[in-house]
Amino acid sequence: MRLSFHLVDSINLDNLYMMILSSGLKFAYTERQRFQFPDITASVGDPLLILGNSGKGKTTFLHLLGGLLQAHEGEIIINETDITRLSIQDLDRFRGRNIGIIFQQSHFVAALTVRENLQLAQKLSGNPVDHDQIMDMLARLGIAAKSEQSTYRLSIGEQQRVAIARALINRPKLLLADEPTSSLDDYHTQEVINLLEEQAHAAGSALIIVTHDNRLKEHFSHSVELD
Amino acid sequence: MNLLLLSWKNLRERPLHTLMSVMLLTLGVSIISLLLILSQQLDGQFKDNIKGIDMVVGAKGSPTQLILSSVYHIDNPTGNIPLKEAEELLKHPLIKEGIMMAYGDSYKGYRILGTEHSYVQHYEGELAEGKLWEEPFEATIGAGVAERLNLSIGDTFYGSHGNVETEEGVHDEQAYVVVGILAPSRRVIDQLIMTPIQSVWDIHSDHGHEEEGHEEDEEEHVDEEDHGPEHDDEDKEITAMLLKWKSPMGMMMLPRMVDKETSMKAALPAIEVSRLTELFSVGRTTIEMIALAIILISGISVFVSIYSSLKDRKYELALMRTMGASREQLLILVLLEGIILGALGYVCGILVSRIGVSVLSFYFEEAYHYPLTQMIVSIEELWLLLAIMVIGGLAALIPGIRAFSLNISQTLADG
Repeated sequence: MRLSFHLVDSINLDNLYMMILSSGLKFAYTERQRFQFPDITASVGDPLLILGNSGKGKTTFLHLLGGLLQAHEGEIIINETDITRLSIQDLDRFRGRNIGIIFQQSHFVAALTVRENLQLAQKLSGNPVDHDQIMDMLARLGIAAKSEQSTYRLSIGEQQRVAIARALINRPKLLLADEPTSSLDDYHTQEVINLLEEQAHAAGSALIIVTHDNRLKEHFSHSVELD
Repeated sequence: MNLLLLSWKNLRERPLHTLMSVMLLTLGVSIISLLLILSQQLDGQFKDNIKGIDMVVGAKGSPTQLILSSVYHIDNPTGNIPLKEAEELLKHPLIKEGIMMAYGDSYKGYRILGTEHSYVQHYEGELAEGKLWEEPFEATIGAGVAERLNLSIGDTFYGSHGNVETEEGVHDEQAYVVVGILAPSRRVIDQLIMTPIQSVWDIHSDHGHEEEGHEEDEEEHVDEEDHGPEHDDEDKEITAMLLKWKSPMGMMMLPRMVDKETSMKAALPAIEVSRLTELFSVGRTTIEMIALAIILISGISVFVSIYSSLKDRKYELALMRTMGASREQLLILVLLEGIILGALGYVCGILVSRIGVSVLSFYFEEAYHYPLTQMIVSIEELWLLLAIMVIGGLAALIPGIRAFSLNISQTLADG
C-alpha cells in the first residue's frame, strides 16, 4: 500500500527537498496550561504521525503548525519560511498558499456548492480559479458527480473527501489532518489513510496527521507521541 | 467566487431575514423618495407659476383662495370685479402691466379662461399648432388639454357652466372652435382653454347674468338683467387681474390701497405660497419623522439579521481564514451583506415610489389637472442611495468587527 511512495520519479525536485520542521515550540494558554512540543520533521513521501491522548495539546500543536496560533517560543519552518516570524497578514497569505488543513469534522461554507467551496479555496489563496483543476481533483476523489450539490446534502464520507479536495486544491506544501479516522471502522480507516497518502503525494504535499487513534501507528514508520 | 457574490449567497441562505430587512428598507426609502418627489413637484409648480406675478387682484375674499383660483386654477374664484375698477388700477403709476382674466365655464373639467395674449407670453407659451385666439369663441388650448381631451384644430365644443360638468349647465348656443394648440410648457397654461374675454362676456350676457362666483349679490343680479343683453363697459366684469409692479415700492403702497379704496382684494402670491408651504411643512415633517423611524428600524433589522447569522457562521469564517482569507476580507464580506441589503432596499424603494407617483399622478390629474412626472432619479435620491448604503454598512459594522477579530484557533477547536 505504500508502493506509490517509492515512485521517486513522480516527485519533482523542489518537493524532494521540501521539509517541514519545528524546533523548541512552546505555547501557553495560561500559567498553568503550558505546552512544550517535540521537534518534528516531515517531507513529501515521508508522512508524520503525531499521537497523543486528550489534553496533551494535539489541537494546539496542529494549530501552531497550521499558523492558526502563534507560538510563544521556537520555530516552524515550512519550505524555508519560519512562519512564527510572519505578520498576521503575511501568515494569512502564507497559509492560503502553503498549508491545507483537514479538520476532524468537515465544515464548509453552507451557502456554496461543492465546486464553489473549492473555487473559494482557490480564490482566497490568491490563486486563479481553475475549473479544470477543480473537476480533476473531484474526479480523483470520486466525487465529481457531486460538484453542484450543497455540501450539507453529502454523506459524512463524501464530506470528508470534499474536505480533502479543498485542502489540496492549492497544492500546499503541508497537509495537516486532525483526527481523520477517529470515528471510522478499521476498513474505512485504511481507506482514508490510503487516500490521504496518495492525494498528498500527488499534490506534492508533506502529510502530518494528528490523532489519538493508535491503530494508525502500524501504518506509519515515522511518528512522535505527545506526553 | 468573489466576496460580493459570496455575501449575496450568504444572504440568500437566509431568505426570510433578508426579505424582512429589504422590506423595511423599501418602505422607508419609498416614503422618503415620494416625499422628495411630491415636495419638489409642488414647490416647482407653485414657484414656477408665480414667477413674474407680483400681485393679484380679485373680488373680496380669502387671499389664498384668490391666488389658488387665479394663478393655479385649482380653487373657485372669489367672485368678480368691475372691469372699470381694474382698468383704473392699471393706470396707477406703480403698476407696470397687468393681465385680465375672466372665468366662466369649463369643458370636461378644464377651465375656459377669457384672457389676453399677454397671458400666454407671460408663461412663455409657444404655439405647437394653429394660432392664438382672435375672435370671440376662438380657443387656443394647452398641451395637456389637447392630449387628454383629444382635441385638434377645427374641433368645436360647448362650455358648461362653472367648473363642474353638469347636464343643465351646458351653454349649447355658442360653440368654441379650437384655433391653436400650445406646446407643453409644464406650467398652468398646459391645463387651460384660452379664449378672448369677450367670449365669456358674450356667453353670459346671452344667458342673462350667470357669472361665476358665490358672493353674488342678488340686487346686482337684477340690475344687470335690467340692462338687457347689450352690456356696456360700465357693467362688464372680470374675475381677476395679474399685476406686475414698476418698482418694489408697489409692495408698500398697492395692496393697502387696493384693499382700502376699491371693491377689490389684493393678494401677494409670494406670501400666500409661503403660507401654504408652511401649512404643508408640519405634515411633511411628521411623515419625514416616520420615514426616518422606519429607516432606523430597518437598520436595526439589518444588524440583527447579520449578527444572528454570524453566530451560526463563526466556524465558516474561521475556516475561510484557514484557507487564506485575511481579517480584512472577512470584515468586507460582512459589511457587504449590509450594503447589499441597503442597495436592494433602495432599488425596491425607488421602484415603489415611482409606482406611487404614477398612481398619485392619476388622482392629481383627475382632481387638479396637475400631472406628476418623475421617472428619473434625482440628485437628492442619489444622496439617499449613499445614505442607505452607509446605514447598511453601519448596521453590519459590529458583526463585521466581530468577524475581523475572530479567534480562529478557539473557534475551530470549539467546532
